[in-house]
Amino acid sequence: MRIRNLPFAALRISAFLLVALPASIAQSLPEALATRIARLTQPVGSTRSAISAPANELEECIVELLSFMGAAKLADREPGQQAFEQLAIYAGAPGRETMRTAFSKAAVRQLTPDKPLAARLWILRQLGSMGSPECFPEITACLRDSEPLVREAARRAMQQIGSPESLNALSNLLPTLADAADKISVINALATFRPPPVRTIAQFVEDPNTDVSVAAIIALARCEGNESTIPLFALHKDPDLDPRKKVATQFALLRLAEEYMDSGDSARVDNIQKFMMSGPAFPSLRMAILQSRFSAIQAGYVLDLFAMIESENAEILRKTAAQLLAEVTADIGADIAKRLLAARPSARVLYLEALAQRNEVAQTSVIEAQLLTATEGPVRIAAIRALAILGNDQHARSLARLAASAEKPVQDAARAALIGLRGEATNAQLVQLARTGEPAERAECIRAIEKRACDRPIGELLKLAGDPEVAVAKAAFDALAALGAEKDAPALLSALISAPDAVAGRAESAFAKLAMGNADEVARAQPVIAAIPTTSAAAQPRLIRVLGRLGGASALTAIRLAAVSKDSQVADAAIRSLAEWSNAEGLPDLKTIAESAESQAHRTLALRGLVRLLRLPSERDAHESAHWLETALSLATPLNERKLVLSAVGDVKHPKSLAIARSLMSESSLAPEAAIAALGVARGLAVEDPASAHKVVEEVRGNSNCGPTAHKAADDLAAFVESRRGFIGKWEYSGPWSLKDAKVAQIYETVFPPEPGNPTTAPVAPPANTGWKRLNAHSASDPWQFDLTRVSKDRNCCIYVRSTIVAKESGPAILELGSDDGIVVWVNDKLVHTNKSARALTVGDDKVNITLQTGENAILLKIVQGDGGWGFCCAVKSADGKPIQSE
Amino acid sequence: MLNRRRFLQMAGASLAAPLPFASPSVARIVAANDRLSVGLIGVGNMGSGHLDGLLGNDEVQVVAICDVDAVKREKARKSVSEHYAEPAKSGTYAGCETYNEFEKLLARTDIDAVLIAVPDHWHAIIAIAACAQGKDVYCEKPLSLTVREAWEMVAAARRYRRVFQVGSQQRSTANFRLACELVRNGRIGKLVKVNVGIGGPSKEKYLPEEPVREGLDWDRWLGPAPEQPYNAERCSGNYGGGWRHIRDYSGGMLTDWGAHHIDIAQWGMGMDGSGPVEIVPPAAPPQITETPDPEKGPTLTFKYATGVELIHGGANGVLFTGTDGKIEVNRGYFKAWPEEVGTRPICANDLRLYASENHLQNWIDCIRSRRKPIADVEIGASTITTCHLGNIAYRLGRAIRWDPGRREIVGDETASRLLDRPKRGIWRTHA
Repeated sequence: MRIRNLPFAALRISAFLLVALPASIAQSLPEALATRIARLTQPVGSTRSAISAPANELEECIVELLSFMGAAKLADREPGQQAFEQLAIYAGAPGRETMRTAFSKAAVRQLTPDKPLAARLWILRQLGSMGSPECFPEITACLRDSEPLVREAARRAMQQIGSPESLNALSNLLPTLADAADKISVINALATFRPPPVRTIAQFVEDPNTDVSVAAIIALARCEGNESTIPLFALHKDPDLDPRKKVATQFALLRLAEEYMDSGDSARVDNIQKFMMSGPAFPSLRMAILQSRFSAIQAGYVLDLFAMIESENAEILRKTAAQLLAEVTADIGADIAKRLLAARPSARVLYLEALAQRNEVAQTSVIEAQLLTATEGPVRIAAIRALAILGNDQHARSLARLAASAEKPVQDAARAALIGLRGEATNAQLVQLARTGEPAERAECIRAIEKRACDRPIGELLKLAGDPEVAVAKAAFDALAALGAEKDAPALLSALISAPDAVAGRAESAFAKLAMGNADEVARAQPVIAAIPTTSAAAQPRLIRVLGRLGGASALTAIRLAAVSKDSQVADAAIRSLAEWSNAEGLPDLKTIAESAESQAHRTLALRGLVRLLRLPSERDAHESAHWLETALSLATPLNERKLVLSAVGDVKHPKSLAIARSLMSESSLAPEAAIAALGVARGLAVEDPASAHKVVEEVRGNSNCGPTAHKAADDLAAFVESRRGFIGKWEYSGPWSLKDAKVAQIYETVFPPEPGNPTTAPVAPPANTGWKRLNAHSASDPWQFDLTRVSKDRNCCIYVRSTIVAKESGPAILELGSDDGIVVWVNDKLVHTNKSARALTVGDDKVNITLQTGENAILLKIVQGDGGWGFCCAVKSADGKPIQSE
Repeated sequence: MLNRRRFLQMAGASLAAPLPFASPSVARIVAANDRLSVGLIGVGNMGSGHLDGLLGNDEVQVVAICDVDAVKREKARKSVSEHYAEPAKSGTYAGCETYNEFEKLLARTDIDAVLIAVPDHWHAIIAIAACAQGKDVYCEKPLSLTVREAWEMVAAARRYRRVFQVGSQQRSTANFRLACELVRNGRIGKLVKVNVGIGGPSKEKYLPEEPVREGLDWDRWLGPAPEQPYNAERCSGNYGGGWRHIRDYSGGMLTDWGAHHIDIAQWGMGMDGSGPVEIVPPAAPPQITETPDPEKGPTLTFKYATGVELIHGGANGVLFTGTDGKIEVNRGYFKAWPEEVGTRPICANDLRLYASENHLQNWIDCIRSRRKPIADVEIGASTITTCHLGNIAYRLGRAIRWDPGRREIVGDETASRLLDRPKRGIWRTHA
């Protein structure tokens, strides 16, 4: 437990005494005071009820807190102010009126000018939220205090209290003020009272200061009655009125109309709105007036809305009118439909949208008629969208027809409508329509069944998959893929085998998707392998391709057999499957094929596959990858194949791949690709071998055959390596360390064994690496950044990393750190930095001053992981920003 | 004749109506003179991200930047000028003006819409003024600093008939919508409780005075907030600290993240436009960076009239628990128990929620169609009201009762006074 050094002889106290005060506050106050406050704020129902707290005891507490609340030292001010707030909150609770009065009275007695300013401001702030009427004289006095901050705080307190007494105090204050800003703040405050003091405010409408006048005009909007309406009307009529006042007047009239709406005075509302509409409106208010008028008379305004929709007014106003039409609660569907028939196209679109938004199901036939008769695309689209909302199974046929045959935008709308069409009978109707009719329409119905996902008519879809119409069968296989389950796979396998060639691709995709629902690689491939011998030679390639998608050891064995088949189509399918294999297991097979296949096409296919598999994510070490690259290069003869292999070289961070790329830079036709590959490898190896990075950069710069792209990449690499001088690239790690069910906060607090200090005695979750291992998790883009998710995917844990900084002489230095998430740093076993942020890694986010000793300095980082990304980087620089050597 | 409350209720009712389509798509190829002119107010952490989004959208042109920090302002102006270098040469782009005072930007009649990405204590003043000036608004979340401000923003948006999108962009993310659709369609049975994994409330911070950073208009930065001496931490936009942690400017993580996760919770509960009826705090509030753990003791609990409880903590994001299953959802994460709850698709006859794939684009589409955006201001107001009520209960340390229809705290005068905060100096929200 940490005790602050206070000038008030704070003493350690027992936390259990403190019921209402947070421990951090209580610990920073003198024990007697904290105990007293705790006793005063005991919960209702405990042995001593605070409701009867003696006023003098409260006042003594407040007086004692005063020196804290006003203390110059912020560390002292905080507990004082927080304790006072806790008292205020407690006293302000319902049922504690006696205590609230006592507290308010005691508090306001400390508002005199001789008291510390910070304390006075804080008391005023708290009184704003809980002050009782008894405190008004003193706060009123503060409204005229010589200190502007006190006047401001008092005004805010009065406004927040919001009682008749505070209204009076502010009303009396306003005429005495000289400063325009002061006047505005009080007028604004008065405008928040219900009702505001209209006579007081109205006096300032003609204030020579425009800002004051505008504030008064806007405040008048909240006052019903002639005293506000007449001045606002007069202002609105004044042709010479200042433009700002004119706008404010229009705002105010709008608001005033709302006030009358609330009180049900429709005559006044009508009067104001007609008055506003009779004169020119500020442009931004045109929609507001439309809205206001609509709010007032709604159904009576429908004809005006029709007129607006059919007018030549700006589109935004016509659309707003249509939206308002949609919100009218009266029964106007038939009226809209009638207007629709006679309107020009742009208005018809808006009427159709309004009918849909209003859910006017009774007008569906009118909408259908528009669909049949309208020639304008936007009208047809609007009609389709309306049908999607209002229609049912009866509209499926016409929508399917449009989906199959209309021009693109109409087709898209029809497809979406078919998918969205509601009603329990719609799906059955779509199945029915899919059975007979025009093939394109049938296919559209099947697509809609798929996307609607309402039920799974698998038997029906399997029948349709065998349909002689290609479009229908393709759509059916797609729907089966989407709606089917793994249990449907056997039936689909039969359909796949018997399907015509034109739909075989879709059938293969559908079957593979369902079969992949079985996580057992052997079991899912078994029916396919079993079917091969009894399947016609023409259909066998389909099964081989499917096995390629399913993956797994047994599938690979079957494909290997097929790759040496005498049937060229079967062999071709097998080689393609190997080339598309999902992991590196196919590498040896592809090498063999690339070396020895009779067909050039198969050799090329195999080489491409080999390079592809080589680039897949793998645990294979870089040395082995480099060996495979050499093999691939030896098999690549044409230029494009050699370029293909080179494209993979840059991925392999190994000296051998660097050597391959550098050697090919001498061939003019390959130099650009070889240079990019060499630079990529050099970047990855720059931590280990910075000299090679520099060498490659110079070679590329000196080779004109490499071209401008590679030259720029060389400059970028040189700049990048330079920017990373001083970064520590070699680390050892230990972890991840965690506690069972730990939260991130606990991870920071826990001393795990790698950390200086006494290790935790709590049970530690067994880490993957309790000792120290070389950290090789260099980020792909920046080898001086480390991606710890490559070490572990754990959450709520940490990894420790350590390294050595070598300083030629002792003295100050700066650590530049980035971490994801937080970081704790020790240098020579001394804690120098903690940042508990949940953040992404940014280079140099934290800069920490440290002192280095001559020679070796041990640096230890604790990188904490909550969730998501996890990594760090660290540079060490001298005080003047120059890099310092690290190990 | 309608009164204001009824009109808002009527408009609110349409929020819950199922929409089979996303907001109507408009042609994505927009002629230069048909592009929306947008002003960006605030170009700090969030604002600069939005600037990239706006610059990458061919349907808008950024024509004005406002920030009280001259350095940020100039940096943003440079990005804009570089981006529009070609149109400027060809005469289809007139340039980007910068402003220290938002009033000057809003006074421009050539600006159609504004994106507001300033600290929370400024949201209401700027957004309401923007509505009054006829601008459509995208306002960063959390919508407001107080409950009253939020509903004043709703009233202004409705009064001036503006399209007002709140930046609770999880509504435009497919997995959050899916979770809510599944819950609303009863896939986990009757909803019992919802847990939200977010941090705690903001608090007072006692920071020493420092020299004001060059280029920063500190008085403007404070605006309606109480006078305080400058300290870099006070106005830092750093997500791990800064103004988000300070009570004068923010409600802390309960509003900053509540505007995301509580927003999704209320969407899934079907409580848009409404709210809880009782809010019960634990003995002490959690730290701002701490997500409370309900398994270790009671945490803040929002009780709804439906019987559903919204509980602070206990989720990776938002966890809906029903009588027949559970769904947990977060950014890039979705899990359902039993698993099939999450795999059985929503079908055409199920309740479909408003669909938007891109929050900014949805706002732009709605500016053109004049329809309500997915995170309409009224939704944002009801979400942030719940968050603020949580903070009030935490601060007072006692349960409060809330009438979501009247939007009033019942029987607690002190708590009621915390529904709003008086503004400093000349600043006001009424316009």
